[in-house]
Amino acid sequence: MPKFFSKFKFSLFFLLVFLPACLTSPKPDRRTSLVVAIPSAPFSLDPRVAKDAEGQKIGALLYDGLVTLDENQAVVPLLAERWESSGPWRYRFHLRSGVFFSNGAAVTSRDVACTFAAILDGKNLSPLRGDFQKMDLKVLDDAAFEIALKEPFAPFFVLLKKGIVACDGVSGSGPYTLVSHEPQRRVVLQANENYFGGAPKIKTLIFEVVKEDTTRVLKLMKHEVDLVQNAIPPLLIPKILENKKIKMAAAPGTTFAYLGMNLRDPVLQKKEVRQAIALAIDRDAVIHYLWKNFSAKADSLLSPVHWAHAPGLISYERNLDRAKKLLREAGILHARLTLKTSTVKDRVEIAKFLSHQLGEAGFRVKVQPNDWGILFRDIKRGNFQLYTSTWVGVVEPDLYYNILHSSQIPPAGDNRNFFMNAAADALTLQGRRTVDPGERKKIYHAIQKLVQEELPFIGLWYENNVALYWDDLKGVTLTPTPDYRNFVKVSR
Amino acid sequence: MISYLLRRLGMLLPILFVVSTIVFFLIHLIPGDPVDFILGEQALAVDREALRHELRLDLPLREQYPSFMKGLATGNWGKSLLDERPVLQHLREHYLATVELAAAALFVSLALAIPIGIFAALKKYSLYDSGAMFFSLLAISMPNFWLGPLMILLFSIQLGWLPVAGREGLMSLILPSCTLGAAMAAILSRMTRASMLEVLGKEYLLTARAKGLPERKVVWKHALKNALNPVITIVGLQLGALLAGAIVTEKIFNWPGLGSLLIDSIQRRDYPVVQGCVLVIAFGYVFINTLTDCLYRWVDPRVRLG
Repeated sequence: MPKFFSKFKFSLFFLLVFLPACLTSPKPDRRTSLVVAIPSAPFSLDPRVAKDAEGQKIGALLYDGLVTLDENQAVVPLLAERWESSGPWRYRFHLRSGVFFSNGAAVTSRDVACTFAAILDGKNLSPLRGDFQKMDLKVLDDAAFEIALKEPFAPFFVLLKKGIVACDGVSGSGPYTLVSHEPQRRVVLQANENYFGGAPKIKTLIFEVVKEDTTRVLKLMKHEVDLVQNAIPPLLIPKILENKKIKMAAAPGTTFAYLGMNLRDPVLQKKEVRQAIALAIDRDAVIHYLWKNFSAKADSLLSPVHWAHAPGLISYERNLDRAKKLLREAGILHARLTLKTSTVKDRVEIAKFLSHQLGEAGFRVKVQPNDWGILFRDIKRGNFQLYTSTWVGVVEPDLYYNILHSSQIPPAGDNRNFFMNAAADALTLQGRRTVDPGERKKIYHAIQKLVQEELPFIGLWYENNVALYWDDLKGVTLTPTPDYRNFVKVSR
Repeated sequence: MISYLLRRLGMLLPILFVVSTIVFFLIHLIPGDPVDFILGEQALAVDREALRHELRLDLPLREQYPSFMKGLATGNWGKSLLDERPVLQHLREHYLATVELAAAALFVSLALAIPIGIFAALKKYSLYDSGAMFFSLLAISMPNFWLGPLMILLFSIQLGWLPVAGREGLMSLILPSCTLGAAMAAILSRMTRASMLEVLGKEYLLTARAKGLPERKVVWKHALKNALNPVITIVGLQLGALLAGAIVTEKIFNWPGLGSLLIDSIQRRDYPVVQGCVLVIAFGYVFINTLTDCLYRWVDPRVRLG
């Protein structure tokens, strides 16, 4: 027998191939840890540069911001204890005392300045750079600093939600500290025992990357993970809950799903056609059959829990007769449209459902799923008629400026529907420049009313925040914001 | 044998050159801007342009290509556009996982296929033969994306014997390797059976029996060895495909292999990682091909290489 295949060498070869498989990660102590399955791997946990959703959500556990949001998405103090206006578009902030970074150093104004400087540094390519360029920060002393806005820009308060990183470039003051980050596999956090808001009861938080929906569900069912949040296909939720040891927490969400329309298209330019599309869609059916009632109809970008949500907006309920009448008035019969969506299975199903519903009103809609890169390119270039998408975690109504103002046509901004409306331009600019919450509310009410009349896009639903977890966990509650800060209150 | 191996290794370079060139140009044809994936939607236009310039994506392809080839030749395979970790680091982490899974799947398939194929051939046209071929047909007919979750439901959820997914120890290797190995075993068992049937009718086996050799030795030492060549060919092809990454199985079992890395990188337009993956896959195929040829020589000394 050739020497290579002698028993010893074969065994050695076998061992070398399978030895890594024999090595296992140490198992966490389940009494004090929480294992959460997440659908995609975070790339960066640094709040100054993180662009992906998971990176931002996990980063928010490591780095506290100057402010945070309450259940109505209104800004409330966090690291900044209070602030006052010190002149036109000038604000003085006072930091909370007794707050420390994970490196033991106290949080000071200098660290806030370091964070701002890093964001503004072009080398770091921060996605926040454009907005932070509108602010000038001046350190007054260790506990106070002043922000002067170069132009009227009310949304800057929400920007201050971004985590503050110590001048060492690493340390945060959040409820958790980073233990390890294995790219594409898991992130392990440890409770910050000195957290000013009280140390979390769960000492070790493990985020395990499980990309496939079915696998995530199966791992939850076997209790290899303790909790899955906003990452379970709604159709599977009733099946999972047949296991009485698995519980569910749900809350209205702020993720807004919509049908985008290209207003440069000769068919979709006509408001009657857009209204006919809105009247042809049966949102109740989609929510019932595809979402298993884990979403709620949306008539506004701002969810009902949002402080600026406008009550009493026009709501387009399915009315095929009226839809067909509008199309006749517009002189459009059997319009052929293409509906672009991503290749995510659930989104394709929804698109097919909508296509069928629109077909009943006389439209001929072809569904075209595209890889995200191609879809995004087509949307930016206006190479589409209809598309479905979502705005995730809408907190600042200034988003209306990005999506409606005529100066924000891509690539400048996100006015992907090519909406050109003087009233919208004036109102969104005014909303951006008005600080008083009462006045802003009135402005954004007017904007929401305008959107429902003109229909540059059609609101579909708000996706609920849903968490499924094993019953040995206590205190699992959700907020409208789809982040992970709720884990701070969880215990066993 | 050595000169043959050296000649085969010599062929590797032109193959890798052609593959890398084709992949380089093809991947840049895919619509979609990697800068969108790296910076997200909110980045300033000036930052987008700066990054495009830094990554040399603003240069025409004919200018990007020479620096790409120079990097490959000098071992600098670049960094991932998204997390800036070296491409070689990504490949090391994922390729080892792929080799593990491939080796385990191959072990499962051979452990099942060879005995089943031999037994079916020996008991030709009997109930055992029909049963073996029926199960092999069943195994070929079951797609991975169906069999995998089914095995998880049974062995992990219902019986609780094995973990659901992930690369956490030897136990977590069992389900994915059996899922992959089942279809491979089906094909191999049929091939083994057919090959054995052809060999079992040969006169030298009659001579061996006439000389008084035990039946076990006749079958395992004489018949099987002569029946292995076609089986080795199929094993070589299957192993090459496995080392390219069994994407569906890796996704279902959350196995961090090369297939998952390749798909994720294509979706994110992470050009350097895609190019690295394809080169590794090409190298794997050439290596397995060479190994297969050497195995022919081992099994049948009459075979002359080159």
